[in-house]
Parts: sequence; structure tokens; C-alpha cells
Amino acid sequence: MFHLQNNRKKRKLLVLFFFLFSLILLSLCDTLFLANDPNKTNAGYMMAAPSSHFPFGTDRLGRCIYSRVLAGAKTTILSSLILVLITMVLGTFLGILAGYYGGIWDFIIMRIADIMLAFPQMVLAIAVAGILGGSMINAMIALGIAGWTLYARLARGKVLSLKNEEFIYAARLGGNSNTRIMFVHVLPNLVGELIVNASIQIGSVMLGFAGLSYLGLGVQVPKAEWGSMVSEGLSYMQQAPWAVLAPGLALFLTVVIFNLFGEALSDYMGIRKTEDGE
Amino acid sequence: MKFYILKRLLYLIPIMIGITFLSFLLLYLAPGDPAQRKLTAQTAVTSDVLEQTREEMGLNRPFLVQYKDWFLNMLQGDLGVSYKDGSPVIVKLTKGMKYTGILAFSSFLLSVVISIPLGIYAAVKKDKLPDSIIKVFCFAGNSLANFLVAVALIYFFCIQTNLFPIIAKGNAQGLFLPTLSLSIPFMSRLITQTRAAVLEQLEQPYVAAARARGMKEIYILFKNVLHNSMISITTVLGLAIGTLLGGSVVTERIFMWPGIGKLVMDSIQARDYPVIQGFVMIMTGIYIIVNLLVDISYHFLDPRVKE
Repeated sequence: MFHLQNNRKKRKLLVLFFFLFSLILLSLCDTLFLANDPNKTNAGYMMAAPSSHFPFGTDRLGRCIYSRVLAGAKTTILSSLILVLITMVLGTFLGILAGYYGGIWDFIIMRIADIMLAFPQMVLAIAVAGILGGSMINAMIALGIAGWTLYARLARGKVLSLKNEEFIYAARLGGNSNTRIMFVHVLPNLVGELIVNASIQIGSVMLGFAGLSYLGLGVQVPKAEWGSMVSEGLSYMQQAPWAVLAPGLALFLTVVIFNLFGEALSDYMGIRKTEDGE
Repeated sequence: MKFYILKRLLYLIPIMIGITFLSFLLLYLAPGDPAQRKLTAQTAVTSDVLEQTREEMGLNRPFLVQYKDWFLNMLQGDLGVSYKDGSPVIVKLTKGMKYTGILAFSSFLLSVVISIPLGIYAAVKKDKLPDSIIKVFCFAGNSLANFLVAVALIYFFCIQTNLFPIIAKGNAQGLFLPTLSLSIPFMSRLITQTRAAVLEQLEQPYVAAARARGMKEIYILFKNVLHNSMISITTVLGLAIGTLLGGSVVTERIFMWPGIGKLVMDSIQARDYPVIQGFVMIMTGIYIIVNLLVDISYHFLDPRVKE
């Protein structure tokens, strides 16, 4: 019975992984699938309805929405993945350091984490991106400034519970250096939980990016991004609803796939997600 | 009890210092020279005038001295003056806060009234049809950007049916759509977590024991289970206020609701940094106070917390 259930979970995970992988592949090789130049304006085809030449229609400047949605996939998906990866690596490193050495390291790192968590996350992100100015790098800083705390707290908690295990004592008696114990003996025990949490986090990071771009604090025009496309299309939604519908739907479906994948992965690995503020 | 509150307040001091320091640093690191920004309205800025303004604004002093003065002023409710028109930041913020407060409060109320009963219902009907339907809706809600909710609402209520004006006028009718669009993503989170909290209690041995003694299901639910899940639900509510505060910026911008979120977006466009800084301070202050109240409320909800 257990075996059967596990098989079903595995199948679900594989199907979702296939979707996820195609999405990432699509965002990596977006240029292969473009129908038109995503940034080329076309005065003859302003707000044109979907047709064979423009599969999702055009926007106010006559740009092909299908091509812009594809180009936007690259911006949104890749930046979210990169950001989650950076915050995960950095947070884990700091968390292991705090948990393993304790004392002053622990105090400083965890107090900084407490301070970051005392801000409402989106408020901090809006302010940081607003003051630094809109660009993808600044949006990443704005979202990452508090993002690492999740992984740091997770890693620290795990390290504290592992620290007194016998295999760590054995490693120490064997003459391993602290660095080697931390990264060769402790880290592999954290990886599963970290990856599950990271995969759950990707969806909300994407929503954060899209939110900042919607507010004009993410990518700069004319670069395509789903949040800014929705924001732009909103002003002429009555004439050209496709200009809002296509990027909006793309964002929603992508986040759904990433969230489903995160859930399936945590289900399969039997790891419950760590409760987090936002 | 008194001792506990005192301990919590003392714990807040380093956090407060950290938050203010970070907010001040943000303004300090902001691109551009504040004196230059203040003077851009005037023509022909000579280096003498610029230097004099910098002296007047105290920009030539060391960083930590500037921070200390700013911090002491802030404790007295002085958040500096706007670069744009020289009016005190705090006045601008309190004006916007009134509208944001109304919006956040009505969204909070609406979400709680709908989500908590639905979450309990889903937990009781676990794995049955109502639970599955609620779960699908929550999942969709969790994957929706809040601006997409707002766009969908505008499309159906304003463009298709003409029931509501798109631009909120700051009255009760104008409040409806912003409240709804702020609540929907919030609700899906609240339902999910209420369901989880109630389920956790339903699996406890005392529920099985109560059932075995023949107690009515409804009695167990309302007399024991809900009481015990209250503590997790309150925690979730406290943390979720942060989402509401952040989300209000987007919602206010879409519906032109004249709150603090719209103010901060205008200030970002005008590079009026002190207002942005004040916005962070006031929002974080509210968030911290709410979570402090949540912590204190544990004492009333759970006698075990009393030490």
C-alpha cells in the first residue's frame, strides 16, 4: 500500500518536473520560438486582435504580445531561479556558521535575521527598489535582502540538532577540520530540506518580482516582463484585453506549476515546509 | 504577565535600533546628493550655495552623528521634511494612513469573517468534496499576483457590467473593489492555515477520547478544538498583516485609493526619499505592534505560556 502510494507521488512529481523543465527550457531558448521581434514597434498593427501573424495580438505600440510573453518568461523565470539559488546558498552558509560555531557568530547572524524579519517583506522590497531605482539587479537585492533568513534559520536549527550526533564526534576525532565537518559531514544532511523549501519559495519570489515590475520598480522598458506588461495593458484593456490576458495568464500558470511542483516534491520527500512569515 | 510584557519590550529595543539604522542607511546610500535634490527647484545652483545648504542640512557631519540626531527626532515623531515641498513627512503620512487604515481594516475584517469558518469547515470535511473545492480555490488564490486579482475585478465589475467606478473616490462604494482585491489572496492563505491548525487539533488523542465517551462532534469542535487552535490562528493573523500592508501599495495604485501606498509610489517617482523612509518606518512600526499584541494575547489563549 505504502509502495503504491509512493509510486503515485513519484509519477505526479515526474509529470510536474517535465512541465517545469519545459518551462525552463522555453525560457532559456526563447529566441527559437519567437514569432516576431519582441521589442519591434509596428504602427500599422496597433492593438491588433490575435491572428496567424500575431498569435496573441499586439499591444498599443504594435509589438507582438506572443513574442513579448516568451521574452518575459526568460526575465521572470530565470531571475527568480537565480535569486532563490543565491539566497539559498548564502542563507545556508550563514545558518551553518551560526549553528556550528554558536557564540558571537550565532548572535550577530541571528539578530540580523530577526531585524530583517521585523519588516513586512513587500514593504521593505518596495522601499529598497524605490530608493535604489528600478532595474532587475535592484529588484533582486530588494527581494533577497530578507529572503536568505528562511534558509539561515532552517540550516541553523538543523545544525544545532546534528552537532551532538556521534558521527560528528567521530569526524572530529578523525582530525577533520571545522570547515570540512561543516561542509562534508553536516551539509549533506540539510540538502533535502533546503531544496524542498527553495522549490516552495520560487512561486512567491516570482510573484514578488512581478509585483515590483508592475509598480515600475523591476525591469525597465522596453524589456518585456509579465508584471509590467499587465500594468501597461491595463490602461487600454477595453480595446485590447489580450494585452492583459496573455501575460497575466502566463504568470498565473507558471506560478501554479512551480507551486504544484514544490508541493509534490515536499510530499514525495516527506518533508513539511517550514512555516515562514510571508 | 507584567514581567513577560516587559521582557518582550526590552527585546524590541535592539530590533528597533536595527530597523531604524537600516532605514537610515537606505536613505544615506540613495543615489544623488540630498542638498542637490532640495535645490533642484531653484535655478543656477552655485557650489557655494550647495555647500551652504549641505551645512544647513547637517550633511557634512559624520554618519553616526547624523543617525543619532535622526533617531532622536524620530522618537519625537519628527520624520524629516519632504524634498518636494518641504512639508513634514509625518503630516503627509498620517493623511494617507487614514485611508490605508480603512482599506486594510475592512480587508482584514472581510477575510477573517469568510476565511476562518471556511477553514474550519474544510478541516471537518477533510478529503470530502467541500474540502477539495476549497483547496483548489486556495491553491489558485495563492498563485495569483494581487494585481491580477484587481485586474480581473476591474474587468468584470467596471468594464463588463459597469457596476462600480474604476477610480475609487475614497467613499464606501469606492472601497468595495479595493477591499475585495486585497482580501482574495489574503483569504486563500488564511483558509489554508486555519484548516491546517484545526486539523492538527482534530488528530490529537483528546479528540478521540472525547468521541469515545460519546460527546457530540459539534460540542468537541466548538468547545475544545477551536479553543486550542486559536493560538496558531492568531499567530497566522499577526504575520499575515505584513502581507496586507505590502499588498495595499499595489491595490491603492490600481484603484487610485488615496492612501499611504499611493503616496509612496508618487514619492518614488519624485525621488522624495524621506517620505519613502517614513513609509517603511510607519508600516514596520504597525507590523511590530500587531505582532507584539499577538504575543501578549497568547497569555489569554493558552495558560501554558504563563511561566
